[in-house]
Amino acid sequence: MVVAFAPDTGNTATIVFGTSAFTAKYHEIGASEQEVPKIKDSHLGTTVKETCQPGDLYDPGEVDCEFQYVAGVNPPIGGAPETVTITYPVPTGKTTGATLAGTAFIRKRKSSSLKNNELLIGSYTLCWDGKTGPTFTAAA
Amino acid sequence: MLPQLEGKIVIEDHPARHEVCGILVPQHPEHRQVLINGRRVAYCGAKPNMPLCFIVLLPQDYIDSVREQVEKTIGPVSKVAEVPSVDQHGNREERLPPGEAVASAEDGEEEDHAGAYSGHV
Repeated sequence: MVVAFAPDTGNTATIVFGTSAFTAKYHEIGASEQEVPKIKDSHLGTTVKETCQPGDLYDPGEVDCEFQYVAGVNPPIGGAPETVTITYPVPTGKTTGATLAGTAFIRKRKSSSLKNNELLIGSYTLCWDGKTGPTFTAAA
Repeated sequence: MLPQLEGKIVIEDHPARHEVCGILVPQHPEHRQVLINGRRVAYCGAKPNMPLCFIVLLPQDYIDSVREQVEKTIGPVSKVAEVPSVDQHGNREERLPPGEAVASAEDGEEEDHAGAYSGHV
């Protein structure tokens, strides 16, 4: 029998700052993107198309987050990097969600725009420092 | 601690692992995860005076029980950060241990400016 599972959504995902313990009502915990530089290695004898090879080091990337802004309660900036753990929702049939964890710091933070009929939404950019992780751990 | 939670709160290594000499070891040995009946509910420090950060919304007596267990096993926690519910914010002053400064102490400059904008224009 084929069992159909509903696709996962981001609902119940969390992000935890291990030292500052900053919390908020999150609207979005952004994707984490890693990128390795591309080194072109084509030469005068290369034909048809450019060729390239991967660089030695990859950029561990950043995560953009949006949350309901509370004036005076800001994400920590300028401090030492801390352990940050993003916990994914618990998939059907599992007891713990996957995690993405590493050491990181907030590189940029933004308070909310002030508008009629709109929630105050703040944002920050979390930068993985590459010293530890970030590492994905599967749901169990 | 609530009787129904006796023995069901488990404090383990943080889940992240990395490879050292071909062996998977805890990536963040300075942190722990807290599970209730195998379900992950919080992260905390491996040493005293680090925060206890919940990742699921729990009744206050469960939160108190987890805190009690963490403090018994590891030592005092510096702060309890809850998942904000509809009517509260996790950084509110009353969530801090007695005697600790207002939550936004690390952002004191913002607090200092608050009064300057309080009047109507």
